[in-house]
Amino acid sequence: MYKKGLPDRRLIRVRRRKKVPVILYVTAALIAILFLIVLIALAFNQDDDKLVSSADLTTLSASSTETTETTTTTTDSTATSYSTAATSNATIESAAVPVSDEYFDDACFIGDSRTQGLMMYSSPEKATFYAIRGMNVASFFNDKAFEKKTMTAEKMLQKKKFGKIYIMLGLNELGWTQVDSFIKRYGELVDSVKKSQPDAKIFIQSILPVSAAKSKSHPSFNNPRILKYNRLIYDMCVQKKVIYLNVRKSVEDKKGNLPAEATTDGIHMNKTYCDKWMDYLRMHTEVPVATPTTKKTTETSSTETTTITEPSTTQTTQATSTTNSGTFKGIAV
Amino acid sequence: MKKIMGFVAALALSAAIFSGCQSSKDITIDVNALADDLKNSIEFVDTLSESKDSAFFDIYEIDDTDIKVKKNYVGSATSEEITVIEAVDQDAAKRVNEAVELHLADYIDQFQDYAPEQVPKLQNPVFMQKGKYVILCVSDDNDTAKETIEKYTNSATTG
Repeated sequence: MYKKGLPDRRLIRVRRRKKVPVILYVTAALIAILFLIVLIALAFNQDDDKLVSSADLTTLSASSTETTETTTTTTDSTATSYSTAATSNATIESAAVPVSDEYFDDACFIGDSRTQGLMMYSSPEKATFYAIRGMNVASFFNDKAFEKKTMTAEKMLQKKKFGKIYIMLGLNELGWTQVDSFIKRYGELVDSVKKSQPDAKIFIQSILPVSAAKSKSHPSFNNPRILKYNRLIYDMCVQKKVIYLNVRKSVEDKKGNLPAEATTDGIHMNKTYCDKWMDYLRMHTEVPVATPTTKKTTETSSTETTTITEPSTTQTTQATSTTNSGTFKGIAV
Repeated sequence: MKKIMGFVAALALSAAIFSGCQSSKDITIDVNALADDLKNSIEFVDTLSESKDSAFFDIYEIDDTDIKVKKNYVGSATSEEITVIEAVDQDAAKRVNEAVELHLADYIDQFQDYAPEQVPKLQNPVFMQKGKYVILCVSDDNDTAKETIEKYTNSATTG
């Protein structure tokens, strides 16, 4: 019932209701679509970031490996800074998901006190470690450090089969006067491992860096010398057709030094940095064997001579092919 | 009557005396709390972190069935460490004690050539067995280590 002249309020109310829902629905739909677009875009961005940060993709190609080493010499000390444009084009690094502990059930780690640190803090539960303070490429053969001091590392490897062998040696040999002797012995070690473990994948790990303070102060435990040793180790890997794993990238800072926060003595790493090293190993399981590279470096032999200080003869003894010699006294590595 | 009263008094006195005594066999120590307290109260040269179980049993050559609870903090650069172990029983504690002694001897041997400055700490650590507990602390501050341990061994309740 409505009075003449006046609109029916019921009709008005109905007409008003009809307009608003449509606009609302359209607006809500537009907002929802925009929201979805933003979500999708964010998701794609995150995936890209993960891929980039979790894997250093370097391609195996004919391009050169560039290592630039510049040295400044002061009256008091020799300071060396170096950067690596592409660390090694023999290490194609996988962008894979990190492997779990189970992957290392059949893995054996061989090394010195740094590998002991890895064992103590970060080791997968069932991995095997033949690591002892002071181990070097000679003591691997002749130091009975295992099984209640009855077995050498070489003999231990003859007792059990492994699927993967990870080796890091060379730090204790930085003081050896004859570098060729070190590489020769390292090659013999690899031959021995291949013989006793014919089916194992062999990973030769680069020598980890020392801190900037240690590098500046020590005649042999310094990063230029480590760099030199790593190049020789790489060449040995090419010759022996084994994998070179550039683990130093997991811990070094932008200048190629071990960060001060990683260590109390400049050499041995704390748990945090051992974990970083282990994470690197988890991420780099499918790495091909080392291949020859075309090196393009700016360092010259004269520069290298001036930067790498040979240790004094009072500190080291000459390394021979059969005896464990050349280690520094007083250095626990 | 007097005799009976005297006998009862003697019994009561004996009970009072023996209840105040603490046998080390009955001691109860919170292994984790003691290890953490040692870590926090001593100024170590090294950064100590807890070791992985596999590494601990590898280094110590202890049968894991002999251990009820353990806490082991080690350094990577030095010989410093904290080890607190509750064995399953007294016999197991003896075996654990022997294993720790062997471990110390082994480390002295290792560090002798490579870091001789660490050897004095290993030759003179705070090392004791209290009932079924074996406690080792290798540091430069034995006094603080002993004081800290005493807080737990003196105030431990009878089990």
